Amino acid sequence: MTISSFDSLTPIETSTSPALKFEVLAKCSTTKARASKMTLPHYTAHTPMFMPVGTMGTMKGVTTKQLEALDCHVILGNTYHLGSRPGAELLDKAGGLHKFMNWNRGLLTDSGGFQMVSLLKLANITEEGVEFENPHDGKKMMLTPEMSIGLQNSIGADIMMQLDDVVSSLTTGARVEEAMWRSIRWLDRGMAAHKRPNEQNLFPIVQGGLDPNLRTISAQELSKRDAPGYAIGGLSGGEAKDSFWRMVTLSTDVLPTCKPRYCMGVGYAEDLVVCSALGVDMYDCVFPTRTARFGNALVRTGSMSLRQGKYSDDFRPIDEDCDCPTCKNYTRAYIHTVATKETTGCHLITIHNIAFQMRLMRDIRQAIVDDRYPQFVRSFIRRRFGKTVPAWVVNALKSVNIDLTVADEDGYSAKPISEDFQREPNN
Amino acid sequence: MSLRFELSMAAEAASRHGPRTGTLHLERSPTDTISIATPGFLKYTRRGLQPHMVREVEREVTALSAASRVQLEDFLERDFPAVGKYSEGLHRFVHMDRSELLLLDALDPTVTRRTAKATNKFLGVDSEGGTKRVTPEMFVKLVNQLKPDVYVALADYVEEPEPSATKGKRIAKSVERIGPVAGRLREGDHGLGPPFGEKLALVRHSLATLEPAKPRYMVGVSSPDQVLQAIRLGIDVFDSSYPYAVTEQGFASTAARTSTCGSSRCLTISARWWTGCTCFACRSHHRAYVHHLLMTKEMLATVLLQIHNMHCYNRFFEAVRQSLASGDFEQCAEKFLDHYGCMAGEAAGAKGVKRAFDELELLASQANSPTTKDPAQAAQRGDCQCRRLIFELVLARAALCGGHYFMELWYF
Repeated sequence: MTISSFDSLTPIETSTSPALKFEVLAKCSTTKARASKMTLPHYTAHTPMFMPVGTMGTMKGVTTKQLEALDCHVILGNTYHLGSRPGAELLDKAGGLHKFMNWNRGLLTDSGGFQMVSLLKLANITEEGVEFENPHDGKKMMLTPEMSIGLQNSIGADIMMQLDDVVSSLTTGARVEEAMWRSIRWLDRGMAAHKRPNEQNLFPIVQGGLDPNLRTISAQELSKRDAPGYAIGGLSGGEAKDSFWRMVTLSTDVLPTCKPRYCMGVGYAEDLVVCSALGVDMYDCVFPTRTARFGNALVRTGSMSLRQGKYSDDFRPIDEDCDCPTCKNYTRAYIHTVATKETTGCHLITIHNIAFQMRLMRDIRQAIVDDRYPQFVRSFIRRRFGKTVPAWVVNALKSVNIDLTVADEDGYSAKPISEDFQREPNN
Repeated sequence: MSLRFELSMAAEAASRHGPRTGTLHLERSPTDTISIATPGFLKYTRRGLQPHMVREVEREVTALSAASRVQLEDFLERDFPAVGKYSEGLHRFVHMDRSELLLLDALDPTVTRRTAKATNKFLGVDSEGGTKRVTPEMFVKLVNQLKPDVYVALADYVEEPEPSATKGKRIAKSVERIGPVAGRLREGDHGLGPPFGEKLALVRHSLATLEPAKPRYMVGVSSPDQVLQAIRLGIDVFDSSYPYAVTEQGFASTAARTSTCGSSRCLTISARWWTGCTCFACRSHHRAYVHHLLMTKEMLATVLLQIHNMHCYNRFFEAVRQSLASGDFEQCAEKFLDHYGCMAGEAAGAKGVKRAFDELELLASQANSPTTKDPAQAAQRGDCQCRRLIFELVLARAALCGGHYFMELWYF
């Protein structure tokens, strides 16, 4: 499932760290999109890539063998969850998460900070770290940058994330600036505590809320640290999408072009297409696997709720063009009968949704390699949205020289609408 | 299409009551044939797929029985199921390989409590969309549309000495397509059925009137002790609802294997399977990982357990056929049943089954059982990293220990 021409391409830009080699193989001549090869200790991944989230060291009922067949290059584990169960001691004994879950490709772990703030009440952030109440015994506990790295060293993922001071993307004022500077100090502490720099990569996280000035300072400061790659954080938290894309593109403008950029928590198809045009290389999101559990299958026009009665005698596959095992072998009618009723129903849709994300990313990479990314974007947007397109998409793409409001050779042009989301194509 | 049953011993030697081996041959066309060794089992499915296993995962269980059972009630969301409009047959609808024999039955043998009643005109079936009425005509229409290789004719499961004459005709008519239908054994109990020993007595009685050369499927009988006892009476086909029950309780079976005990090969149970087992789950993962998945209620837990439990169940039947072929079945079965805590023989059967039943209940109620519902206990078990996951093959579930809604005996 790899792109045939990928390996024969000569790198345009290369960066080498002890545990990561990043080679930019193709650059879009219109947008900031690029296609690259990222050599990690366990796997050589192709970017732009989507990384499915397997919080607990497992991907929602899908075996690791199936994940390989689905062309997953890197998957995510959550440090906070893995730290409480099965715990660092057992992971050390098992020889890390790769061996524990029998996954031989790339792994990425977050820092645990986000869960501290999102899942736990009474989390108190100090200069020392995140203080929280242990849900098991109610005792006060502290997660410091050093402890986060220590846990992630036990998990042994190819890529680790720094502990950052997470503030809601809706927060404004002095707290945002404090969090941005504190995240940099925590990065330095994390880097000092990192015991396995030759086997694991530590990615810093650009913060600064929705303030362009703070974002710029953060990205500049982090760039000085010469990390193997960088993440863009503190977004996808309910902020206006027009602010979201501006922060993304600002970050990719400042970060070094020879290093991978990871936009955290992004996974809607249109976001992946737009952010790739803005120069992002990596994404993760629980959305595709979570929505599958509710019976929703992803398609290029949006999402299909297979529980609806109208699918009960629809004998077509979810997507005629999809080559995943679910679409090759099952009708919508069959999936309708199992969706949300049997675990197999969840498995079938999860498999399709992962395959959907992976195929979208392959198509993105191929279009960049062929230098026809703008055409790909236009045809994607046309199919996904039709005549009206959320203004943020129009604005973001216009910033990288794709003007959807002007008709292309196929006669397609779009009218911007103020809503951030549009569920279905408007034809 | 033809279904042929070949007993490996001479026809006259095949007594009415006694263990026997054979082969079930299904010939759809001269080039499309399936053979299934008996005693064997039909894979139990839910909505056409084995529990927790999509087809790619199912393929990880090697040499698995090439026969499945599907129940119509799984598809009765509407009064006339949408699947009935599908033109390519049930195999294709549930993406079952054509190299598998597909048996269609009306009801799920693991469902022990039913509220819908049958009348002279229809069989009432509980579904998520309320009670659905399955008439014999509708059933026949669905059979014609879905084209299962074998189907169990719709039967009247209510307490009646005999089905009405009309219905009897309809049943007879509906099964003419695939061959003769013989006996049917009802027990007329909607809750926990009579002890297994009493059921065996009913089976013995029925078999006396049935033609010995035909295959016999005992619906819903699946746990190893019951299987062995039923094989002794001459039952040929079972279904795999037992390994599913084991999986649902969060347990892993230990492999039944043939081992040397004294001078003869015996069916024994081994506790060492986790290292010795060759199934996909055991080859790929540690016990600790499966434990972690159970503790965190991750879906992969039941996927891996089901792979393993089906592997063991398959091996169990292989061992049974082997011991039948080599002539030491009686001895092996006796030893197995002794070990199982279930005395052989119909008189003692009830007592033995009760013991197996109690054992599972006890395990499920223990503080560190994955199935414990009590939140206080559930919190405690999170810290218990060394919970013993491996239990001997003595686990049975109420539903399988005599709680079937009905028990039926068919041959084709």
